[in-house]
Amino acid sequence: MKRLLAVLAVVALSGCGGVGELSLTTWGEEYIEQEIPATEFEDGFTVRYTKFLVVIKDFTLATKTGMKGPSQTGPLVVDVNKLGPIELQSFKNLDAIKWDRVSYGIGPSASATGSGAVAAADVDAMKSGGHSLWVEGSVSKMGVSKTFSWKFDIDTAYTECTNPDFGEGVTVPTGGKAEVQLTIHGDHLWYDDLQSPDAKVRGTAISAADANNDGVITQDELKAVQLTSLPLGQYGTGGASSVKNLDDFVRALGRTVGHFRGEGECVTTAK
Amino acid sequence: MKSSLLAIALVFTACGGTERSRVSYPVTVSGGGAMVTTDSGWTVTLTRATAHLDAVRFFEGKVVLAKNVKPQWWRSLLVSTAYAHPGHYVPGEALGEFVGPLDADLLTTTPLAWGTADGLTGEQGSLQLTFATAGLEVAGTATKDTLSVPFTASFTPAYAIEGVRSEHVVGKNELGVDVRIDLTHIFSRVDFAQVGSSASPLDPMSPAFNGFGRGVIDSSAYVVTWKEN
Repeated sequence: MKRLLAVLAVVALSGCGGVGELSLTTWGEEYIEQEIPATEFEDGFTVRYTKFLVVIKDFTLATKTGMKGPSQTGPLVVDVNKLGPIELQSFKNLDAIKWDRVSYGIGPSASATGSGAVAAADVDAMKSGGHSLWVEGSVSKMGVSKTFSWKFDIDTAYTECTNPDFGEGVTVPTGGKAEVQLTIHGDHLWYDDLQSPDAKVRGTAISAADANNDGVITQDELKAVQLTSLPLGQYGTGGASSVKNLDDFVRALGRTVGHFRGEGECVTTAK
Repeated sequence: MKSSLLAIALVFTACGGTERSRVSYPVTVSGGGAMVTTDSGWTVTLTRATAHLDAVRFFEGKVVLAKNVKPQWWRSLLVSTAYAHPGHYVPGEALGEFVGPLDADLLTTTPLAWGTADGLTGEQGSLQLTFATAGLEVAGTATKDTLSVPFTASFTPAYAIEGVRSEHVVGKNELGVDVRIDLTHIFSRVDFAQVGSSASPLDPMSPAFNGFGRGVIDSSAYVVTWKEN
């Protein structure tokens, strides 16, 4: 009997054979829900988003050993400007193991459905327009405010997700519940370098792109700003030589908004 | 900085890190012709293109940017991968270096011997190229339709060029590595219709000079080729 109890204890401790739950959520953090404060900007701007729609798809659990777990039921349109975290899906009766190969995508989908407090018209616009990311808001400094509404069709795979605090992927506890939060970073669209570790958050060049000064920064206006017209120490493209103008630049940054459980990261690949 | 990274790597190896062996291999630099075409349609005939180099260092870390490449099947070969954050190129462990001056004439067609790098075996991901004070000096004439613009320019990057792709497993018997400086890439952004107050030398405040500088610091302008064993 003692031996049996010992075996059971080991099994219980190791989690072998058990099942648990996983809650998949997303969150835009304070930067997207409230504002990116002037203290974050190198040049004193602030940004307030009024809409931050993303299409999240292909969330998948797997292990390095090749074991495949469940995947997201279908692509979801989420407005992470709404108060979060927003639950996307709950996985029940999952093997209680360490799923150390976690991946997901942000990309267009014609079959996406809305999740959380997202307007039906916005979901339709994302689907019919082939968009994966739609951000609206204002960028302001010293009483001057410009609005923007930018839509992107970029398709990005986020794989091998890891977090400095939790490690690779997620561990589902036996009889318990784990959470995976796909965290969206709204400040990334304002970085001034695609590669440098010294990248700064800036608003000057984008705000000044409003060529007709009507208070609205359009993507055509961003496209008209060649990077060669900006200071050489800013808007560096690393090795992305195809990035020539501000619209290209923000689009490239759009591939970096997806994170994993807060500050965790994934390997990103353009699709 | 010079040899410290490599020294740290050697200590790490000696103290039970990944098993690596010491290795050395020759480094060459090449250019690639005197004629280039810019994105804005200028044909540039170069009479001078000299890269003043100071050091090359090889690192474990892979290059970071995701970019779309077509056709599809190329993607797995050419799309770089990265953690999803600007600035998250991490050089990682230093795996080799050569420090020494070279004034490389990039108009010659044959690779120029630079020196012999000392390093370690193992999987490399990227390299770092350091220009000497004189940077990259160029001279030539740009033509487009009936326009002809003689020019000179010189640009020295403020920092080493980081994140140059060099994905290779270094073995014990390497024949060498060539770093090609792609002048077409470097001139691609230069619009000689926007030279500002002067073309010779290029007005440093002009978009043309800015495009030249951006070309020099573009890590994809440097193409690394390991010689086949």
